Amino acid sequence: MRAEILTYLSNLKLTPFAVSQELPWDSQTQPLYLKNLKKIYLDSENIEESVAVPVMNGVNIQQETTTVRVYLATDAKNLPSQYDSTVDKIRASKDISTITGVNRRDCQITRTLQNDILLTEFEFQFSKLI
Amino acid sequence: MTTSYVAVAPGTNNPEMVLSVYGVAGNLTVPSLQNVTINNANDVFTWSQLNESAKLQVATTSTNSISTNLVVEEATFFGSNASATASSPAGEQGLLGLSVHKVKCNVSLNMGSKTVSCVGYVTGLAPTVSADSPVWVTPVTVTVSGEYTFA
Repeated sequence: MRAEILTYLSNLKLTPFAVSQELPWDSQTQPLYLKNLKKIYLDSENIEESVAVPVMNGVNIQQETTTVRVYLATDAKNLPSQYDSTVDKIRASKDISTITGVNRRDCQITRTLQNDILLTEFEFQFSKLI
Repeated sequence: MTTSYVAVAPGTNNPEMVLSVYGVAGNLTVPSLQNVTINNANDVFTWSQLNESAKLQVATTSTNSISTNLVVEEATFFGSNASATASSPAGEQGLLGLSVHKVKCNVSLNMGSKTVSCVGYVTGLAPTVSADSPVWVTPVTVTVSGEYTFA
C-alpha cells in the first residue's frame, strides 16, 4: 500500500510541497518531517490481522488491515496558499485504483501544533478479507 | 462428582455436519459452521380432570430439526458436479442440490464424543452477503423425519 500511495503522490504536482521517498525517521528515530517542512513523508506499513467471521472448525475468516501514515509539517503562522488543496490531494490517495482487493478504505486526518509547526498527519487504513 | 462439559475449540470437538443421500454412498462434510442448534420439540396433549387443580400433560410426537448458520464454501454449497441429479451422491449435489432435489438425507453431527444422527431434508437456504459482511453466509435447516439416534 505504501508503494502505491508513494507513486501516486510522487506523480502529482504538489508545489511548493515535495514528496520524500525516505521513511520519516532519522537514525536516532527522530521525526524528519519536523526538520524538513513542506516535505511529505510516508511511514512504513503496519499490518493487523483479526477475526472477521469466526467459524467452529478453526479456519476463521480473517481480516487484514494495513495502516499507512503520511506526515506533512508546515509553518503554522505562514501556511502556504496551496495547503488545503494539497491536503485534499493526499486524502484522495485513499481511493487510488492501483490499490486493489480491499473492501474498506478509511482516512483520518489529525492536525497538531508543535511550537510554530502545524503537523498534519494522515492515517490511511485498508482492509481486506484473507 | 465429575463433570464433562462439551467444550468446542478449533480442532477439538468442533461440530461438523455430514450428509449423505439416503441409500446412496458418498458423504458431504459441511465445515465452517458458525452455530448449530439441535431442536427436539415434543408436542403436548393437555387435559383437565375434576380431581386435579392443574392441567395434566403428556408428551406426544416431537418435531425435530437441526438449524445451523455457515460460511458458504463453494464446493460444499454447489457440489462437485453441475449435472448432478437427485440420485447422485451428496458431495456431487452439494447443499443447494440436496435442497433443490428435495432429497432424503442421512445426517450426522458430532457433539463432543457423541454423534447425533437422523434422517431429514435440507431446507431453509438463504445465502446472504452485505457490504459490512462481505462473505456469503447462509442458514441451513434440516427438517428431521423421525427421531434422533445417539451413539
